[in-house]
Amino acid sequence: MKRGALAAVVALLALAACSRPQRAISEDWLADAARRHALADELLDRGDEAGARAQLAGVVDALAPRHQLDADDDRRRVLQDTYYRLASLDVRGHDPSGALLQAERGLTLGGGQDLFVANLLVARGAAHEARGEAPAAAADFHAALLINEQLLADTLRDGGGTP
Amino acid sequence: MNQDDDAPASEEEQREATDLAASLDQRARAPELLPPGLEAAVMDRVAPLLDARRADDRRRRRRRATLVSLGGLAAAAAFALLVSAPRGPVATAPPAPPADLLAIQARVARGGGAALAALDVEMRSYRRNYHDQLLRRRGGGAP
Repeated sequence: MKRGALAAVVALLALAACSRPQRAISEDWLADAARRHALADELLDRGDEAGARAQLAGVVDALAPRHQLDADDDRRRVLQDTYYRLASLDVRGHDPSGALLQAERGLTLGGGQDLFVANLLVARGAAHEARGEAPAAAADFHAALLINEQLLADTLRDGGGTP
Repeated sequence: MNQDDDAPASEEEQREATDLAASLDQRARAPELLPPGLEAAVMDRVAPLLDARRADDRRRRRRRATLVSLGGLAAAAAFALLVSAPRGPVATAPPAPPADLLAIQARVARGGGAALAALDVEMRSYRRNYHDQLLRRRGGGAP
């Protein structure tokens, strides 16, 4: 019995040690994500879509899927924004299936009715549209519009939404 | 025994007292032994009781050890939960999206994917603003 309890304690401590990285995810991840997004902008301006995609992929690859699902709201938004950009690049690169996958990944992270979720719905709608899936595209565009209308109402009520 | 307490003890009285003291001392040092036959009979009756008592003591010790282990387990679990509980800064509300950005987003949603590039461009300044705000708020500094 004593040995069993000791084993359980050791297992629990190991579990705690394993779950620490979630909190120990460096704040640098956000700084790195911001840097990579800025770099992706520059690369896109130079027409280097592959380079931009690599920078953005680096943002999502830096967090294991498990940590992505556990991400706090700040990280969740940055991740969703990154998935939106990757999906958008795929749509523009005529890879609607890839776009669909990226948008799905972003939407899987959950979140509320915010700009980033609306962008993902728009990207997924565009992917469906490119694949000839009109009903699915219409559903996504409609869902995006519902969020968009609410955001617009909030913005106008709060004084125009100038950042 | 001499009737007169004040009178010195007689020789006989002194001998009696010495014998009595020796007898008491012997009894205190060596407990009385039972006759071998009786001792076996007594042991037959007492041994199971002693065994039961020893077993009971063992059970009680095991129970105590189990309780101590469970207490340790609970403490370790509480510690693990405390250590792994997410403890970060409160999430930063993103800035309100400007109306222009929302208008383009609506245009993409109404007109399809063709306008997606315009939304990407419009998102850039909003994103920079959001990242700056995030990093300032979380103490990460400017990117």
